[in-house]
Amino acid sequence: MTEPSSRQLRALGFVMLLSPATRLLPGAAAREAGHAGWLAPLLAIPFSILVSLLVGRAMSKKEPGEGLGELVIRRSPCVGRAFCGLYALYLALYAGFALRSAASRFIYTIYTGASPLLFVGTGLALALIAALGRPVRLLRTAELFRPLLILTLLPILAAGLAQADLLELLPVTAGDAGGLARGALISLGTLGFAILNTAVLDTGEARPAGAMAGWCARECVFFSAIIVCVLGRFGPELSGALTYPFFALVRNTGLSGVAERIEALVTALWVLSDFVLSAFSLMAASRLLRLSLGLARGPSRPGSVPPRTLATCACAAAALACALMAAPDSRTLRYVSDTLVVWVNLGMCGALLLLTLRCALSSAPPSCSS
Amino acid sequence: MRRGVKRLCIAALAAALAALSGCAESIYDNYRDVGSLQIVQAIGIDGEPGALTLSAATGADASGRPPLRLKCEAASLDEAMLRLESMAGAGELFFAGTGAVVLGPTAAESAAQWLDALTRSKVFRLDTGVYVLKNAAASELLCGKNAPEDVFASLEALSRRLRRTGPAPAASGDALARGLIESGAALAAAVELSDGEPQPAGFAVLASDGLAGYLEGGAASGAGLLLSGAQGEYLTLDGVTLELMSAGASSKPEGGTVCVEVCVKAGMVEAPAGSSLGSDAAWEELEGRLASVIRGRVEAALGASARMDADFLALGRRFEALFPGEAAGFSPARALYEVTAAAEIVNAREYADSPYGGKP
Repeated sequence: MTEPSSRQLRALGFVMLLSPATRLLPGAAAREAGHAGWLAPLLAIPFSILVSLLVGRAMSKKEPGEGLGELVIRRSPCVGRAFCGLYALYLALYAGFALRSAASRFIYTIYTGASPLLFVGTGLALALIAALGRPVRLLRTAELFRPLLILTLLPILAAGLAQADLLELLPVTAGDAGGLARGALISLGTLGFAILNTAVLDTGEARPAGAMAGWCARECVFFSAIIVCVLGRFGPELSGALTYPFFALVRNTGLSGVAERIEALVTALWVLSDFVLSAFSLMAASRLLRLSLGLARGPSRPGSVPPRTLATCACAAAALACALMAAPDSRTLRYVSDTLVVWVNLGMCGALLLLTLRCALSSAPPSCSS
Repeated sequence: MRRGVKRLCIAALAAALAALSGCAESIYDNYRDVGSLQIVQAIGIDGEPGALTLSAATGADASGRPPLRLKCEAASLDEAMLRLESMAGAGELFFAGTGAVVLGPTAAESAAQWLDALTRSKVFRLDTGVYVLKNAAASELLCGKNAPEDVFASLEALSRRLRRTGPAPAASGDALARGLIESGAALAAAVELSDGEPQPAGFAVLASDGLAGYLEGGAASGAGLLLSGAQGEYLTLDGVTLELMSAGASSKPEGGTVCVEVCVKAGMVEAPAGSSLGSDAAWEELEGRLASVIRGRVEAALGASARMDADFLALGRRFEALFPGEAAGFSPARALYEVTAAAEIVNAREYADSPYGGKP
């Protein structure tokens, strides 16, 4: 079997999306679309499938060993290189934000009043070690983490659904259209991050264009289930006001007769998602940075530090700076998390999608100009 | 050589994890010695934001340590908790295990603020049961002379009784917060002190702007029935004892009228010797009487809602969800209610040959 396989990519996408999906989507959907918020991810299904088909079509034209970055640069050398550099910076900063956000969740759920520095430092060290390794290792790790996280999620969702007041999911009226569109866009941005960026590390053999389409639909249904549980328990107003509504749900969910409190366990296991997300972001950022600077190929001089290590460390430094400076307090973090990152992510993913579209629509094989 | 360095690094990292186990005082400060923890099981709040009295009670301890009863005055909940910790002596107060919050009558006037504080708190759980004490300060229940030996056990027993026999299970903090936000009013379990022990006393009607009042007797039963169905209450009609088994209620706006339909199912429990329940007519008469009692209760609850102009039954929210076109501007005070009730009595205990000669 050639790695990465479709299964590994789906596992990677699932594991790294858990963190943003539970942090962002329930609150955002509640604020944007109120009682109808649970529909937002479902509305994103056709668009996410379209994006995955587009990426799949572009990727079908690549050679083994190449990822989306190489394709983009081969199709538009100058613009592609510049964009890859910018996108690498974005991913590095995103890794920092993911670490800061994970630290905030720890502080919110368990370590009240603790400094985020320890969590950020530990997370970054682990992510850096993983990012310096081979991508396939991270993919295999995600494959191992996925069943564990699913096993954790299922009882939470089951208990959440059992306690949900389904009247909170109604009404859905024409007046919700605007909010639903924004909610769907946010869901699409969250999923698009995984669809587009996993393609950066997808250096295996070309696979069918629709390989990820079913996965996209399942992820959207899964997002919707999370939102149903949160909205059903707290209603849209309270959900929108809570810092982490999903973790408030977890905090108030006990498995009767098994465990009264499970938030510490869940918060601890979510580290797996944070780890994969930040390590993946660093790894993809490093790859794009090297592509942008033309350091992807060519042997390094004996005794010198390999370009890959240098690029990954540079990205980790940017991530650290972002984690330490982007959100000095929880109020700023909330703005960064709920607004800034959402729209910047949509912008960056949108731009990458446009370049991918060019690759997908080109009939002739791309010229080797780099 | 490189492989050796790698292995050394891995071993060093693995060893470093030992400091993060949380099983001893380590590099972070979240460690708590279980032996020294005084786990707060119930808190009581009196007063208003800015000048509150917080009381706390720990539970019975397997080590034989006597339960702690503490109270203090402070300007805010967090400040009060900090003060209580300093009063706890050698032990360490642990508030995260709090299972019941009791609001005194004065605190109930600012229930919205206290619920907001609980919702934002990083210590308390939102699903903690909230009780409103009607006839005494909350500190009286937790720290008074006649306070129960184990306050939480008393409140737990009360909670079980409310679940089993009504009028409704005690609402949790998140349910009350949701009710206040969405409907402007919510029903909290009301409690009365009798010889130091908490006893059920219907509902306290919490509103966004304070305590709107209390529901007792039939009104409380009617509200409980509409909110959470029948709770296993026993009713005696003409000497025949019935157990309410289940109830279903539906409501919808029709023009300017709110139509409420209630259907209850009751089981025959006891009938005096010589009861003439063998005929369908007698059985139906009893069902009619039960329906009449239930209708009276529901009307009493709706009447209280109209009088207080507090939508604690969340009818407006229900109409908004199910009948969005007709729900605009629903006000309990302006609505006209039309209540219909139906009752079915069954031989739930499956007497082979009913001692009162009733239907099998």
